[in-house]
Amino acid sequence: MTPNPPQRDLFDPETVNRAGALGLYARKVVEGYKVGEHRSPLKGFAIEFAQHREYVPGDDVRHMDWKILGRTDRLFIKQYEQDTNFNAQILLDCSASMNFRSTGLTKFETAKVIAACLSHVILQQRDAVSIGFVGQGTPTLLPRTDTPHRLSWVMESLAGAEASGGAPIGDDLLKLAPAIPRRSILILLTDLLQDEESVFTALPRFRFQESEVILFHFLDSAELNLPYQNKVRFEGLEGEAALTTQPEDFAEAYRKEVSGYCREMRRQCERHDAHYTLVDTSKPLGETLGEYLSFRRRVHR
Amino acid sequence: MLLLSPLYLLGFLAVLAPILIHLIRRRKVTVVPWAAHRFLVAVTRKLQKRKRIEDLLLLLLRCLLLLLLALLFARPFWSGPGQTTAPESGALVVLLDASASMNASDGVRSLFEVARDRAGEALKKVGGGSSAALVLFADQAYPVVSPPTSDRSVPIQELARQSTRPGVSNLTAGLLAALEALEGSRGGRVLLLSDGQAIAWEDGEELARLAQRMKDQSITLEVLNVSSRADFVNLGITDFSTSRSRPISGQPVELQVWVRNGGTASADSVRLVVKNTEGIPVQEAWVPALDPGESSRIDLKMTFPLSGWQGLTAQLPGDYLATDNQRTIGFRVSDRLRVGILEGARGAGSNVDPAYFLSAAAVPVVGAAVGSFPVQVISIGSVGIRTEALRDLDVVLLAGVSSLSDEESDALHDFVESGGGLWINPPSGDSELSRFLADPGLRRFLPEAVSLNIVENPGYPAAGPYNHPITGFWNRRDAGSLVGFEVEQYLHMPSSGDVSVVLPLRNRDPLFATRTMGVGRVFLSALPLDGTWSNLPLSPQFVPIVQRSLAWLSGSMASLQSVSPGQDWVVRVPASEVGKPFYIRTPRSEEIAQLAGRVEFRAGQAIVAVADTRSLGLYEIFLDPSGEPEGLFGVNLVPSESDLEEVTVEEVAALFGEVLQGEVRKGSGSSTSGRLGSLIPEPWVILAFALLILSAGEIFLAQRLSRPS
Repeated sequence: MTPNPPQRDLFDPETVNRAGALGLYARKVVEGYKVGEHRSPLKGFAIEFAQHREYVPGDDVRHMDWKILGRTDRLFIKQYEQDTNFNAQILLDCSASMNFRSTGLTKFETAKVIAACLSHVILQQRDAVSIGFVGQGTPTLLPRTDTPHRLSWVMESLAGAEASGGAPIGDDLLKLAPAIPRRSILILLTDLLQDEESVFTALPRFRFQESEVILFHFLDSAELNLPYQNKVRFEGLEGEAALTTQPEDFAEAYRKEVSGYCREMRRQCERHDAHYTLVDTSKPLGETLGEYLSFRRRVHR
Repeated sequence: MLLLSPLYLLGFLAVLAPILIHLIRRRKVTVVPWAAHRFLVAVTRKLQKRKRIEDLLLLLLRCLLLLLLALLFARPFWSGPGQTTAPESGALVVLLDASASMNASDGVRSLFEVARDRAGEALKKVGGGSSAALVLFADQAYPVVSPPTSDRSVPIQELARQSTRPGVSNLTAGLLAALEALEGSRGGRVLLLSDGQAIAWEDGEELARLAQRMKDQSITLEVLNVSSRADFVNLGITDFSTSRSRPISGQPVELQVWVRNGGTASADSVRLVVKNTEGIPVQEAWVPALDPGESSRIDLKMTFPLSGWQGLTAQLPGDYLATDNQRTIGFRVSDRLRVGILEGARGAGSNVDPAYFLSAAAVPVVGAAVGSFPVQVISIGSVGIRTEALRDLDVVLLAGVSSLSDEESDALHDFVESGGGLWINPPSGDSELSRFLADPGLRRFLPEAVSLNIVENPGYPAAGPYNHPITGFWNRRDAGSLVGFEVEQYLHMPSSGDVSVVLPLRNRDPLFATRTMGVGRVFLSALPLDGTWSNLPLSPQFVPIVQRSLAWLSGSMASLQSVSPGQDWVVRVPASEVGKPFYIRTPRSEEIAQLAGRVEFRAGQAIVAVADTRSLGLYEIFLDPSGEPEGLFGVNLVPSESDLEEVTVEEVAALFGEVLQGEVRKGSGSSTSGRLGSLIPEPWVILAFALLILSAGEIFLAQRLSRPS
């Protein structure tokens, strides 16, 4: 029995793998969930003071320098270095396990859409975004861009990517660390099914660099619920030995195992000051993204 | 355990279904490319072994369910010791002795209950394709389920409802009914369960004929004697009566009770109690110790102050067979003995009327004492010789009557036949005497050989001893002598045939004789008793002779004091009651008198006839349910049923040897299967219960393990 098809109000596999359509849909998702109507929550939160400038009506009064007002009766706002230097690195897990799907999009395709949406948001606010691919043994980090008209180039990079690797992504993260600027936002899109310990080994490096880590944990609905009946032979996507069994015999135990694992991943992330979001690929992507961005907005108000 | 329908074991093949489904499910595999392998491995490693065991357990449960279901349909049953094959096919007739002797009990269970249980065991063993019948017998056969039926539950259910009958064992009738049940079929068997009472096997000729018939029809006989006690005492009351069937109120009446030991062990002395209708003891005596087969007569006396119907029950303490330990009688107590006298013409040479001396001797008092004397003399003309008028009399005395009309003769005949007493005195005149001897209306009451042979030699009565109840009194030394008068001439009467001599002369010719006609009695005098042929009327012995003769004549019953079960009982009632309802209180109905029928007119008389006498004990008849009874009688066991001597194995073998199946078995102990069967339910019950438990277990396990059931 196949699981219920996830709600796909925007994407299908063919669309995701075409850059133009990917960009178009990313925009639709972002606009559809009114993400762009507000100031982006994806902002750095470094507090290094850069300079004052005179207050212009419309500026955010949260950055008003009240001490100067008290001394001089004049209105000045503070400007921070991050306001002008926001870098986001969006890293996609390209291990073979990301190719799993029960219906609709694979986890990798879903990650591509999320990456496209996030890129759209970041470029819209004139910040810089860089796309990287890990889990292939040799990680790739594409050049950073901060102009909206370069969005299509980002979409092309995403659309052309494939998941076929099997290397621990933690090692790739460590290799990429020197190339990632300090105080960046590192967005990792992975299913954490391949040596997740290496990921948590690498995270402290980014914390040391004062970078913020956001981890999107992708799991298919079938991987979460094991909805199969009768005899099934499970063949590993990353070369594991096939396993023939009756899933309904232990579905309950399996679900407990998976939810326990997810809880552990969340705990590890929290331990390393990384933000954890579980992405169930059966849920609408816009909903998943919107929930996360709303949460972030609340946190960084 | 054996199987009634072994073919259903083919249902065992159904167990292949869950096994095949199990195997098919194992073969059909869906292939799924999978990424989260680590979770599968982690979980299956933990649960694989347990799941295999659970799978096997469910498979086993389901296979067991199907196997049990198939076994249930094969109808298993408990087998007896030594029985290793299925029961014989063919028809089985269970012939169960339900006579009164089967009530014998050791205090826990009666022989009938034991036999009924054994019969039930035999019926349960009847296999598929066979049939069974149930026949009971007591005094007659009672085919309860006949002809045999293939549905054995029918005779089993009917068997549970059966009880003993108060009749004797009539094995011949029972076997005949059993053979009739097997009529038209070849083969079959009869299982006879009884107490082996010897009297049931007495009719050897008829039983031998039945044995031959069984042999011709290839029918076998199995005999089971359920009695097991070797030594037992069985005291039974075999007779109970009053010396006068119609006692006179205020006058002592003798009671006679006969007790017999029909057991195999000697009986100690026991107390005999006589109770009245209300159950109050009115007399008691001790029965002496009796050896097996020995009898004893206990004489009691009592007086009834009031007239009317009375009932008495003689009782002994309970023993092995309690049914024969009591006997009930009913009778009417009269306030006076009524004697109707019809006189003929005065004889030549006689100075008095023919009945003068007889009347005086019947009521030997004068004045006011006459009214209260227990004997009342009524002079009746020939007009009084009518059936209706005679009903109120106890005795009719024909004194010197030389002829009777046909109508008068018939009325007198009916009177005597139904229990009345008739005293005939011949006339003394020659011509009257000749007419007397030639009159057909009178001759019907006389012996054939009475002739006009007047012996003229003087004679004297014989000195005794006397063998008649009337004159037996003078056998006692203190009673005086009857030798005190002389006889000048007398009619010659025979002293043999149906005539009993009351008082003979020295030459052995009877002076007085009696005979019975129907229920009544006739007293014949060879003398006119008017003082012409003898001086007896003037002798002191005359009055007691007349008194005792009248008492004896009134001893015949208008109604029987008791009857056997199934025997009719009749009582005369006033003609004005014809067509009206009558009511009866029986041992079964106790307090309430039930409407039982209507008064009939039969043979010129109004009678109440009771035919339903199935229960032992006292019966009361009423014309008015709130009034006094019009009749009372007892229904008692036939005395022979108290004799519990058993037939021997050799005697049975001698009669039925060629058709006898196995040896004659004896014992009241249940067979192993019987004991087992009484403690443990039928196998199908156990199987059905097990199926229920297993099904519940399978459903629970399947749910628990999240399997499709």
